[in-house]
Amino acid sequence: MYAILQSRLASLKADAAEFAQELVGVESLSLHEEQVAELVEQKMRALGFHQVVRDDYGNVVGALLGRQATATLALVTHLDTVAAAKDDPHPCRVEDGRLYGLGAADCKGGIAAQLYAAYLLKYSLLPLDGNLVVAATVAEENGLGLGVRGLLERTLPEMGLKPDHIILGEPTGLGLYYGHDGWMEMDIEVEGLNPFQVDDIARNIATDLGEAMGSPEAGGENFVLSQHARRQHGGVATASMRVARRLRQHGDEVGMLTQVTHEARQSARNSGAVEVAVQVRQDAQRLYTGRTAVARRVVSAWNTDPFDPLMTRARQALAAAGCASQPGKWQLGRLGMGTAGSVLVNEFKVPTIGYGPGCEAQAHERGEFVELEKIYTAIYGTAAIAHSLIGIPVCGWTADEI
Amino acid sequence: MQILTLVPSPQALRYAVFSGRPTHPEGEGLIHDYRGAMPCHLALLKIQKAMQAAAHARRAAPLPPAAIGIRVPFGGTEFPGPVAVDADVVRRLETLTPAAPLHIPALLELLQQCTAHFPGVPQVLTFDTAFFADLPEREHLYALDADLARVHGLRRFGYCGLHHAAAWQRAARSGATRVISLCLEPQPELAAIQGGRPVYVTSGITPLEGLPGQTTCGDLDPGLVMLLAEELHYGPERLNTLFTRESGLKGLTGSALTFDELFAAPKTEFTLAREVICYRILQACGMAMAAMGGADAVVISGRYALAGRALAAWLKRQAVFQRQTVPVAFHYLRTPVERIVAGQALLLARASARRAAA
Repeated sequence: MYAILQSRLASLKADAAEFAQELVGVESLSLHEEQVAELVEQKMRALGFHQVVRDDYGNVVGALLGRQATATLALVTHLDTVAAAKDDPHPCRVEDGRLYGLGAADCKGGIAAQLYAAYLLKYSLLPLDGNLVVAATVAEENGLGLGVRGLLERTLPEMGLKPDHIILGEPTGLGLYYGHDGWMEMDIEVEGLNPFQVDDIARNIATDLGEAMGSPEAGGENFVLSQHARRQHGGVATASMRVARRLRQHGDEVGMLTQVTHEARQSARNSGAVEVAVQVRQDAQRLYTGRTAVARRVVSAWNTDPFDPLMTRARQALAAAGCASQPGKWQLGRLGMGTAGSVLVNEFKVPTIGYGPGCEAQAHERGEFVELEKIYTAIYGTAAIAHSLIGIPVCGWTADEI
Repeated sequence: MQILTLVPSPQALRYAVFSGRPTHPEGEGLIHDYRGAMPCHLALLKIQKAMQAAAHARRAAPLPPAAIGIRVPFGGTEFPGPVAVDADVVRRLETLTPAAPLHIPALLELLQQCTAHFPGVPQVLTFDTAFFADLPEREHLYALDADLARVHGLRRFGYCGLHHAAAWQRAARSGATRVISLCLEPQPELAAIQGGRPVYVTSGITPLEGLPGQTTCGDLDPGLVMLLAEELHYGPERLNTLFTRESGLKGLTGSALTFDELFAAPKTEFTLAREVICYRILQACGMAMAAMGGADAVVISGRYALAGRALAAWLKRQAVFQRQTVPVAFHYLRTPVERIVAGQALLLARASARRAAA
């Protein structure tokens, strides 16, 4: 079976690389993904996916239907990218086996890998028992999973394709990732009649919060605080600032909000007539389809049990296919990053892992790139994992003649 | 009347063209990487062009074949004889996919492409496992919970039926009634055939059971499988790779070795591997003789049939053959499959032509 997959993959590499380059060549900032969605939809139709849907949110979903629909596996990535630095000297191009350009690692290399992994199974004529869904979602970077939430809440159930397992094509450098920390952004407002006192208290809060967090821990940024801004309205002075904090594995949103509120109020406790309020930052987002939704700036930490059957089967399949399978977790060097796993595992309770060609260190960086060889390996590895989960087992047969 | 035969495998598509009686093909070829870089439609286009070129060389008008005969490695219990393809056959083939997932989907694609390239030409399927459709119950049953075995179709098959059928025909011409047929392919199989009916075969629910092959392990204690799963956490895919790709001669020698290399040009470093293979084949011969109460002939077929001469020389010296009152005859068949496939396609094509004329 693996010989057939490898042999067929050899004839798909050029197409897959070309498609990845096309994807990177099309700008798709969060909430402006229409053009790249069109490209993905066209490719799914050209490759003969049994069902192709563009939903109300703008997500693109392709499905290969299995013989018995015993289980559904979804391969999920996102279409959007964060804004590029204006002076980024690395436009989209292929050089020395690397595909450079905005979103190459996060997550357009992953889109190409997942889409071609599904096609590789189809093209190799390896029959599936369960369904295989490939979904490229919108508003992941800026919309905090608005697209993927709609996908799980409405689109997939309406298609009769609620997933039992999910593989994210986010950058893992071909490791098998099973979670990451979270973060949340909060708006702190200090209100009072005396503007100087309000300023002082805002500064105290900033200092105290900073001291409470200490120096950055190993594993990246854990605290970000904006300078406060003050406005005056109807004789009331209001200072507002924004704080982002890392959410560790067992920390929850309510606990963090209570803690920060307590810390901020402690800083203001002897200052008389001021009010201190803390709330989760949220804002309205307008998707490219015109649909609007409120995005709350919280990414909860998530974790799939490293001994969950999904992880075990993925490890076994990669080992059988001759691929490395280093388990790990995303480090999220900066607050504000994350994956849809937060929504998928915490809200929808679907076991989720990550396996993608990009490298986490490349995500959101200038000169972002993904190695083409890693895209090819991800195609093969993802196909092997998918087959182990929903394929008809190939037991006792070889690629040799009998 | 021309018959085109197709023998597909995951690695190559073998084709041959027969005219009149299917004795020797007038043209044949091998299309490599048939499941890889060479998609099915291109493979058939190549065959079509080769047939046209052959017709031009004969200064004859290129005509489509009267029938296409296709070898199918699995499905003999559903189709105990050759069958002409129609919608119902295709539907029944689809139900066999879980039992032969590498072969049936590829076969269905091949049928589709044959229809596209040779419209109106009847397609006749010949099933390897059909030869074993009436394998005695004592032979095809596993000693497992009867309900479990029945519900999940857990039974033993034989897989090289066309080779064995040809072996029987060859030996029967010399008057043999108890025949040991050894198909020496990368995954070898031995069958005992008495009066034309198989009574013993080395393979099982998959071709993996039985004799070790070039990369396949052959018989194992099921406890070993449990041990690997428990101790080394091997999953089904890793086990499958180990047993089908990394065992047999490859496992024993560490080299990708063919039976040709093992038997035809014996090297001292392969002595132990040769002993293991010869001994297992000898044991299987003994089982076959036990099943038939002796043997009149041994027929070695398959792609390594000629290399099997060295093996035969060794077998003849063993006590179990020496003690036969009448010497056991040895025969060698190289490529019988296409002839049988063509013969069966021809028969069905003629029958259907007669029906059409009537």
